[in-house]
Amino acid sequence: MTTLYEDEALFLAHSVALEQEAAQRLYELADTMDVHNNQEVRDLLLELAGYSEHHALEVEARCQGRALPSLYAWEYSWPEEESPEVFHYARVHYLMTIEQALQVALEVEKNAQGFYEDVGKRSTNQVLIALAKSFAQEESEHVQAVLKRLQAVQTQAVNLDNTDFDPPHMPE
Amino acid sequence: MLKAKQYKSGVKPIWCPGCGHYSVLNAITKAFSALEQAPEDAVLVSGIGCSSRLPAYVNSYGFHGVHGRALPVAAGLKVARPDLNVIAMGGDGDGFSIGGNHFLHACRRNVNIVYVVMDNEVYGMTKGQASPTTPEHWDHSKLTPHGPEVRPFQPCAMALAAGAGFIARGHSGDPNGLAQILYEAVQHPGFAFVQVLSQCVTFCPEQAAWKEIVHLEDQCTSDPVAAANFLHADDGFAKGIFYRHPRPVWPLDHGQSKAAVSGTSLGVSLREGFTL
Repeated sequence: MTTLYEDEALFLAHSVALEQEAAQRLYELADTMDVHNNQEVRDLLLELAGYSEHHALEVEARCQGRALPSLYAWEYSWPEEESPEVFHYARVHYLMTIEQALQVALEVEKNAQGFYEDVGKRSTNQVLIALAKSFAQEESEHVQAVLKRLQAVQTQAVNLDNTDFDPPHMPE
Repeated sequence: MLKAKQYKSGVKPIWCPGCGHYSVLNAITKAFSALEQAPEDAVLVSGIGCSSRLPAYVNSYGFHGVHGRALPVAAGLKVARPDLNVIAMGGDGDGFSIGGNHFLHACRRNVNIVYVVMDNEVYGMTKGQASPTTPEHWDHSKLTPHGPEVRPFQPCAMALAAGAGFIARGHSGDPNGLAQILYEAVQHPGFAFVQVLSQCVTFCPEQAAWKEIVHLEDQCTSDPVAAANFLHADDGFAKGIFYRHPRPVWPLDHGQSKAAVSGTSLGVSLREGFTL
C-alpha cells in the first residue's frame, strides 16, 4: 500500500485538500462571526480564507493536469484528526479578538509547515522531497506574514483582558 | 459526485462559534458526498434544541419536528417511503429525556433509519440546565447547585439492551472519523444509533478538554455479550463503531401487496390529494 511519503499524486491530493479545507473552514467561521456580529474577526477570517483559496489554486496548478486520487475524508493521512491548517471548531469564540484569531492562524500555519517538513524527512522519493521542501518554504513565508501581522496588532493593543463581559445568561 | 460543501444549504448556522454541532454538520456532508447521496432522496428529521436546527443547514429535505418526537416521525416516514435515506437527529435532552421512550422502542423496532444524538450533556437552548447525560456532580446551573445527583443515562448501553443493531460513538473533534461512522451507519440495514460527543463551549467550556481524553476503540463486535461487557467498562469517551449485528428490519415483509393494507381496502376514505 502506497503512502503520501512515497506517492507524488497522493501527496499532492493531501496538499490540495489541506488548503481547500482551511479555506472552507475559514469561510464557515467567518459566517459564524457575521451571525454573532463580530465584524472585525469576520473580515479577518474572510481575508485569510481568500489567501487559502488562492494557495489551493496554486497547488492545483502545480499538479499540472496530473490525475489526483479521490479520497474519502477519513482516508487522508493527517498527523491528527483534521488537516493541519484548519482552525479547530473548539478554538473559536464569538467574542474572539483579532489577536486571538491571528494566534490561531499562526498555530495552523506552523502546523502546515511542520506537516510538509515531516513528509520531506520521511520520504525517499526525491521528486516528492523537493515538492515537500518547496511547500514547507511557502508555509514558512505564511508563518512570517501572520507573525508580522500579529506583532503589529500586539503593538497597537491597549487592553488584552480576556474577561467575557457578556457571559452566558443562566437564569435559574 | 457532489462535494461535501455542496450539501450545505445557504442558511447560515446560528450556533455559538466553537459549538461541536458544526463538526457534525461537516461530517454529515462529508458522509453524503462519500455515499453519493442524491439530496432529494435524503430527509433529516429533528426534534427541538440547538442540535435540532441542523436539517436547515443541509441541502436535502428536512423536518424540524416536535420536542422529543424526531424518531416516530422518522420511522413513519421510512415505513411510508422506504426508498428515502432517513436520518433522525437531535440532542441528549430531546432524545433521552423528552423522547426517551421513543428511543427505546426505536432500538427495539429496528426500522431502517439512522439516529444521531449530539450529546453535550446540557440543555443549551434553554440556557444550561442539567440533561439526562449530565455528570452527577456538574454544578454549573443554579437549578442543580450540587449537580443533578443522578447517575447519567448511558445511551450506548441502553441502545444495546433495547435491541439496536448498530451502536457507535463519534466526537466533534474528529469530523472525518465521524463522517466514516455515519457512512457505515447509513449502510447498516436497520436502526443505527450514533452518539456524538459534541461540546457546548458556552455552558460547558470544560468540554474543550474532551479532545484530550477521547480515545479510539477499533474493536467492533457482533456479539451482544462482548458488547455489553465493553459498554459496562466504558468510560464514556471511547469512539468508534462498538457493535454491528444486523437483524430483521421492521416492518417485516409478509408478502402482502400494498393495496391489501391500504386505507381504501379497509374502507377508509382519504381526503382529496392524499394517497397511500
